[in-house]
This record gives sequence, C-alpha cells and structure tokens, in this order.
Amino acid sequence: MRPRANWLAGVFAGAWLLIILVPVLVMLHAAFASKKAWAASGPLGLPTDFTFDNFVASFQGGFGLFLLNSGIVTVGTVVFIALLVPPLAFAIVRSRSRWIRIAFQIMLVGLAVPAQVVVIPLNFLITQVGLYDSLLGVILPTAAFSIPITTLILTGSMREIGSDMYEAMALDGAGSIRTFWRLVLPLSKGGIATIVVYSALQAWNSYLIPLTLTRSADVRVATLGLGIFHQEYSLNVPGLMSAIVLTIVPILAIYIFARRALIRGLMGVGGK
Amino acid sequence: MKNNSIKRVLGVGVSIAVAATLAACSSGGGTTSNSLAGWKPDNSRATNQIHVLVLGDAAASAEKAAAARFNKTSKVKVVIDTGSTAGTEYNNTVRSQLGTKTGPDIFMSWGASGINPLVKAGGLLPLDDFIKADPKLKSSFLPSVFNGEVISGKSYGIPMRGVAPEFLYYNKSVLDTAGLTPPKTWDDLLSDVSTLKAQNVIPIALAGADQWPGQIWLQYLYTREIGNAQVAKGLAGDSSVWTSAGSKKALADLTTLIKAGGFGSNFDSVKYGSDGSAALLGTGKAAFELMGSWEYATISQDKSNIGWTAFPSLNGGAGAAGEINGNLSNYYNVAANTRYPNTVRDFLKQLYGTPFLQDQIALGNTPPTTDAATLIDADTKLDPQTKTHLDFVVQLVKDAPSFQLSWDQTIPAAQQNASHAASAAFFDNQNVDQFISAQQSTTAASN
Amino acid sequence: MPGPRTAEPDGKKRGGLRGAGRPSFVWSLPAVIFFAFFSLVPLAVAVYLSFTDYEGLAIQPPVWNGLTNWKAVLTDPSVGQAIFVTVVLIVLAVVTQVPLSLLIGVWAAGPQRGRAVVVALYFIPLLMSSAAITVLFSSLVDPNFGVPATLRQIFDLPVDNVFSNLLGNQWSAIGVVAFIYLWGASPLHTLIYQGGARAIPEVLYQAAAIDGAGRFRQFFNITLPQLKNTFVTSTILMVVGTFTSFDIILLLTSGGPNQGTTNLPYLMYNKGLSALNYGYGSAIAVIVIVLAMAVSLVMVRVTGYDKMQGTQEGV
Repeated sequence: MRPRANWLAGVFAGAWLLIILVPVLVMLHAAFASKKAWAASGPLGLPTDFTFDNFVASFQGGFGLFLLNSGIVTVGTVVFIALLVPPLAFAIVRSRSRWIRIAFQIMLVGLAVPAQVVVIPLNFLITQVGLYDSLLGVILPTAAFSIPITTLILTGSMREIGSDMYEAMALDGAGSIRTFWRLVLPLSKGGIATIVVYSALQAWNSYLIPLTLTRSADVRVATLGLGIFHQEYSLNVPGLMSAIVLTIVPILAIYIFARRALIRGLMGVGGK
Repeated sequence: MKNNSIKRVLGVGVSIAVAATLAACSSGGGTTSNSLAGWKPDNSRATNQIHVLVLGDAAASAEKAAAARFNKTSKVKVVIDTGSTAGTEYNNTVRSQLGTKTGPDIFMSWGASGINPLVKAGGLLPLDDFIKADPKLKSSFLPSVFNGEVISGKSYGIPMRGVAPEFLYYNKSVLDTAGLTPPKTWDDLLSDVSTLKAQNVIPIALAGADQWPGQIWLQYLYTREIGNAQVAKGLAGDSSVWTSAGSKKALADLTTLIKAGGFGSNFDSVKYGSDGSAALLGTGKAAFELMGSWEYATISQDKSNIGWTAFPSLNGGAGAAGEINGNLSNYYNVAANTRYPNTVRDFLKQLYGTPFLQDQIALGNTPPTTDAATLIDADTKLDPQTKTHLDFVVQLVKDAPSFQLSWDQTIPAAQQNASHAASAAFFDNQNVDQFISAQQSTTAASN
Repeated sequence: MPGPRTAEPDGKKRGGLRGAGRPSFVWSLPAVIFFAFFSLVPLAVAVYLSFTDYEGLAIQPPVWNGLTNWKAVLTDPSVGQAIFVTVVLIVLAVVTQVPLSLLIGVWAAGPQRGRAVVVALYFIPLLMSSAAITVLFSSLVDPNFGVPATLRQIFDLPVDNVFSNLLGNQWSAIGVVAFIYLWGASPLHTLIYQGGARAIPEVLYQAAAIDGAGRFRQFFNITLPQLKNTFVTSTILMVVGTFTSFDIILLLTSGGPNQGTTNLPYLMYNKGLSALNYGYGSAIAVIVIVLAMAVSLVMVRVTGYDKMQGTQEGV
C-alpha cells in the first residue's frame, strides 16, 4: 500500500473535479432544454423545461448513421495503430541502427505538423488514389496523423523494460521476433492500452480530415453531423449539445465497461 | 492467457483491415451507397445524377423538397448534398471541388465577388443560354437582385432563398416602459439611447465577438451620409470616397453613438445567435439590434413583442431617403463541367415555381421574385406576425431607391476577414485614420 | 548466434549478447512509410506551395512566384505579433497544465477505491471535440447570460467588473483560451502521469520509508525523478500541441480582440486559407512547423530523451 493519502492533493483534485463538472452540467442542461428556455435562462440558469426534442431532431437529421460511421472510422484507425506502432516503438527503443534515430526524429517532425497545413495536398492525394468520399479514405490519414503521438507515448512506456530481461531472452536464443512477441508485447500492455484509447478518441473526435475528404451524407461522421446545427449566421446550441452528448455516450459506456481492463493493463506495466 | 487475447485482437484487426482493403479495391461505380459501402471509393460521378451542394440542413428543406418533386419526373436524378459545414468552410469546399471529378453541378453563392475568381478561371457556366430557352429564369426575379450576379454582361446566378435587407429591430415592451416610440431620425436614436441608459438597459445589442455585425452600422451611416452610389464607387476601388468629408462625418456619427454608450461596454464578448445578441433583444436586456431579416427566425423569445423599422434618416446627409443595405439573395450557380446541362436548366425552373417559393416563405424567407407580395398575402398557413414581417421586408425593398449589397459580399472575397477586423477595430478604438486606410486597402484589390 | 558471455559488473551490455534479439530498422518501415505517405508528402507539397500563388481553386493550379510570399511574411508585423501570442500561450499551457496534471495524475495513481470513479469523471473533457468544448465555453463567458452574469448576481458586482468583458481585452481573452486548453488537455496529460506514477516500483518508497523519509521527501526524491521521462513525453506533446492548435481561437475569438489572440496557426488560417492566399499561408505554415520541430528536438536533446533509457536503469 502506498502510504501517500495526500490531503492537499485530494482537496486540489476535488476542486478541479468541480471545474470539470460545471461545463459538463451546462452541456446537459442545454441538451435537454428547448431553444426558447435556453435563451431565456442562459447556461447557468436553472433549467425551466426538459425535453427530448433536440435528441429527436438529431436522429431525424441522421445521427444514428453518423455515429455508426464514426464507430467504423474509430475501429479502423485503432486497428492500423495497433498493427503499425508497437513494432516501430520496439525498433526505436531497442534498435542500434542509426536510421532508427532518424525515424524517431521524423516522428517528432510529424508532431509539429498541424493538420490544416496538409489537408489541401492530402485532399489531392486521396482523390488521386480514388478514396475520396469513403470511410477508408478517412481512416488512413487519421491513423497516419496519430502515429507520432502514439509512438511517443508507447516508446515512453516500452523503454522501461529492463535490459536484464532482454538479456534473459537472448540467453534463451530468442531472435527479435520472439523477443517482441514474448517479452515486449506482454510488458507493454499498459502502453498499448493507452495508445489504443488515445487513437480511438482522436479518431472519434476528428473533424478536419472528414471535413475535407468526405461530402456525402452516408459517409458523414458524427463530428461533421454537428454541422446540421450550424445555421447560416448562428448556432442552435441546444441542438448542438444534444448531438455532442450523443457522441460522448457511446465512448463513455465503453470506457465504463473497459475501465477495469484498462486499469489492469496500466498496472501491468508497473507490475512489480 | 495474455498472449491469446492479444492474438485474438490482432486476428480480428487483421481480418477487418484485409476486408476493408478488398472492399475498397473491388469498387463499382454507379451504385447508391450505404454506410458500409462507404468503404468503396467515391462514386458521386455516377451516371444520371447531378449533385447540388447546399448549405445547412433545416435551411435547405425547401431545396430538398424541390429535388424530390423534380426527381418524380426526371430520368436524371438530382442528389442534394447537404453541406455539413458552415460559412467559410462551405466556400472552401466549393473552391477545392469545383471542376474536379467529384465536384458539384450546382452550388450556392452570395454575390458576384464570391464567384469572380471562379468565373475568371472558367469554372462557371454562363446561364444566358438557359435564359434564352426559358426567359422566366430571369424575368421572375427582382432586377436589383438578379443583377447581383451578372458579371461582364453575362448572367451566372439564379436567386434563391430570400431577400435579406438589414433594418432596426426593437423590443416593444422595453420601449414602452421607457416611454419611447421607434426612432425615425438619427437624433431620435441618440436621445433614445440616453433615456435607455438611464434605465440600465443596453440601448443597442451588438455581437462584437463575431466582428461582422458592427459593419452593418458602418454601412448604414455611410449610406445616409454619402448615399449608396458613392458607397458602390468606394467599394469598387475609388479611394477618394473613403477620405471624403462625408465619410469622415459618418465615422464621427458612429463615434458619437459609441461614446454615448449606445452599445454598452461588453459587446466584444457577445456572440451573434439566439443565445447571444438576439437573446439580449428578445429578453429585453437590450432595446435595439440592427440586423438582417434572418434576425426574426433567430430570436427564440415571444415574437409578438418584437417590432421593426427602417434605419433612421439622417438630417444633412447626402443619401436619399429609403436607401437600404443587406444581402440581395443567395444564388445557385452551375459548374462549367456539368454533364447534364439540360437537366440542370430544368431543375433551376423550380426556383421560380410556386411550391418552392411557398416553402421559402414558410421558412421565413422573403422570395426574391416579383410576385413575392402576392404569394405572401395568399399564404394561409402563415401566422399574422410572420406575415407582417415578410410584408415589411417586401415593402422596404420595393420602396428602396437603391439596395447596396453588404460590404463583405461586395469586396473581393480574399479581403473579407480584413474588412471585418477593420470594422471591429473601429468599434474598439474609433481611430478614423486607421479605418480609412483599412477600407482603402480592402477595396483596392482588383476584382 | 550469441557469442561467449562476459560477466559485466556494471550491468552494461557488451559482449556477445549485444546484437541478439535487437530489431533491425526494418521493423520501423511499415509505420514510417505509411506515415511518410500521408503526412510528409503533403508537407512537401505545402512547402512547394509557399513558393507559389495559389487561390485554392481546383481549376487553377498554383503559379510559381519565387520568394514573393516569403518576403511578405518576413516583413509582416502581424507575424511577429502572432509569434508573441503563440509563445505566451505555450508558457501559460506549461505553467498551468504541468503542475495540475502531475499532481492529479500522481494522486489518481493511488490505490484507494474511490479514486477510480473520480478519475473516470476527469476524463470527460477528453471525450469532447475541441469544437464542442469551445461552444460550451462561448456561452459560459457571455457577459449577459454566462458566468459573469451569475457572478454579478451572486456577489452584487457592478455592470463593468473584471469578468464582464473577458473577450474584449487581449490578456483576459488569452487567459480564457489558456483555460480552455487547460480544461480540455489536462485529461490526456493526467493519464500520462498516472501511467508513469503507477510504474514506479514500490520498493523505492519502501526503502525511503525505512530510511525515515516523509511524504514530501518521498515525492521530491523519488516520484519526481522517476517521472522524468513521463515529463518529457507529456511536455513535448503539450508544447507542440499548443503551438499548432487554432480551432479554439477560431471559434471563440476569431483571433481578436484586434488580433490579440491570433497565434501563428490562426494567422495562417486567416491570412492564408481564408484570404485565398494559400501560398502566403503555406509560408507561415512552414515557419510553424520549423519552430515546433526545433523546440521538440531541443527538448529531446537537452533531456537526453532520445537515448531511450528507462528511469530504472541501475535500480
């Protein structure tokens, strides 16, 4: 047991919790308020009515499909990240090759590239490859843009694997593949869990890439679907908030159920 | 065991990835897509389809209905692509897609300056041949509105959605409590402002955080002081207009209003919208707002408490009485590379048809057509308040000796942000020289 | 095949075990190629665009104009102003987010049961897109209906108090933006610190306790040093993320008041993409990328992060 029951941190954490929750409560207030009541009460006023109309409007606007599309994009992105990043992180942490250092620095460059810079050329590229206005055309760039950060996170946790463990594997005559499979992956479960969660959230919330690479309603993702509440000169805030709640609920549900697995995974890295 | 679960996840993942790639490769064209078929590459250039890129969802309901009606009898189907984007993103989408394999056949614009770059690059189809085949495509519409997208003698746009002039909205009960009547002259407005301030009401609601609402005030003061003919010259690049005595007088007028506390002190943090500046007006925290006719739909409070009047007249100004500013209309434009021009022409006919115009009226838009007044009066489904509002708009436009398009839609599109910023800056610092030179530079760029 | 073993008293790995089990750079190829195609190729195009005149029209390809854009960018005063705003936002981000995420992350790593539920709530901002967060805060800072109005009612403040025009003054507007970054980004960094804190071996604390070290001492002598790599990971992400973010500024302040919250990426959007001057915008973009890259490379070098050493080497 860690003897660190820390009152100071506890108070601090409680205060921050309040600061987190106030906007969230405002969001819920708006989602269940009618436009009229919302405009009258303002964000912090007491809710004067309670209605599901905004949610109905969201679904009538096609939100069921948008959520499904977001789900597809998220799963696809996570798959690519889970397949591509662990080997890369392993190579960065362990390889002696000079090219690897360059690869790591390329990743750092990648971090520094804001998405707006590349969307126009990316649009051109994706159109040439014939993937414009498709979900796969959204998944691939989204996964690509998540690679630098997830690599950074995963190398952070992979580097904690002690060299004595590698030596033990080498003594057993293990080559790089077996070392990866038997030693690195199991010990990196926490890090992999983190990058899975992170890239899933990035994909779920991604806006700029679907915006520039899709157009039809049937491949629209939820973040774009929020646009149906953008009127020409202003926003329908209650409608927008109901749609945002709809985008949060599935993730929250998965998080609540997967939480135990996630925490076990995070503790697995410490695992001592 | 740990390894097994990892293997399972990876196995599932690999199968999904493989399936996706296979689906993507085995694409077919010409099929209607559902979400899973969205794995397949773009097929929006399917045969027998034309694509209309609209903005907004609820606002496009009339257009969607028109497409549904049209498709009942047409071999080539109209597909409405609802823009999930707003404002500038819409224009960026149009610019980056027009003329490509996946570009729209029909899209929307706000006036000549927005489509000028497209016209110069040869991306738009001149509509004169369509009009020759069906003259009503031009004659049904108000000339001042239709001419908004006539460039170098060629017609490029058919008006749709609504005429949206800008005028002064007010909260009836706030004025009643203060013992005021709607101002007819500029001096009336100034005295109203001091009365309202004494009552702790924000005299005029202004959405400063969005920058463009302040420009409406500048527009009208210039219209009153120098007249729309001069304004048009100035916007077309005549820099002497902005340094003229009339121009400086307009800026002095606005300075007086600002310094008198007409807009309150917090306007830089107020956004435009039904929970922003329109809510100030609707809830009675403010008495006035100078805004376009879309304000009516934006106010979510009880509309029977909202009144409207033309912008006050100004004694000693060179402008004629009744000159107005605002948005002429939105327009549909046609891509030069459309594969089915005849279908496009026939679909455009919907825009002057009664069902479409009635749908627009139901949305609260005033049709840009010559028969708008008749249609509005004939409409039995409108509530009386909305009818009064639409009648007012029609009359205002009819009586106006001139109707100047909003500055930010008249100057080159590339200057729009700078123009908004210059207007917002004047509200903050009332620096006359800074504003004049900003106006000169945003209007100087050749069109 | 592994060669003869040599016992090394200092734990360094020399001798025949050196090459065994180490991945070749081939392992990195799939990810790097994938990334290069979607990220670096467009980046190269963006660099090319900075030497052209391009209005973003698909039907009008870019026209080479040499150094015109670059000359304009380097003499534009708004670029200097934007760099200043960018730096201020980064400093504010680090100063606010690092202590908060560190403390809460370490606290959240503790085993008490209640913490798990609370921690789950902390991560809600992470589930929201930045557009969603900005819309929420927009309505919260509204002087007539939002937090300022409520504070005025509760504390009976005058109409023109310090909160009433948060977006009307450059410094308070920057403060609001920094607060939104803090609100939205701290969950990620808390998660990173939590992971790092969980990984600290128990034995270190036990040994320290035996030596008589109290809670504060343990925090400063064990927790903090062990979190060094975590700190670098988190801070690089934080710095670069703040460097390149602009959507909050776009939706909240439109870069105002009077360009007061215009950072480099927003300037790129405003004077580049929005003004149909993609060449100019691309030049600014290149500057953003070069600066952000330089910062992260410097951070990595100075902290020795790229040596890939674990924090427990030698434990």
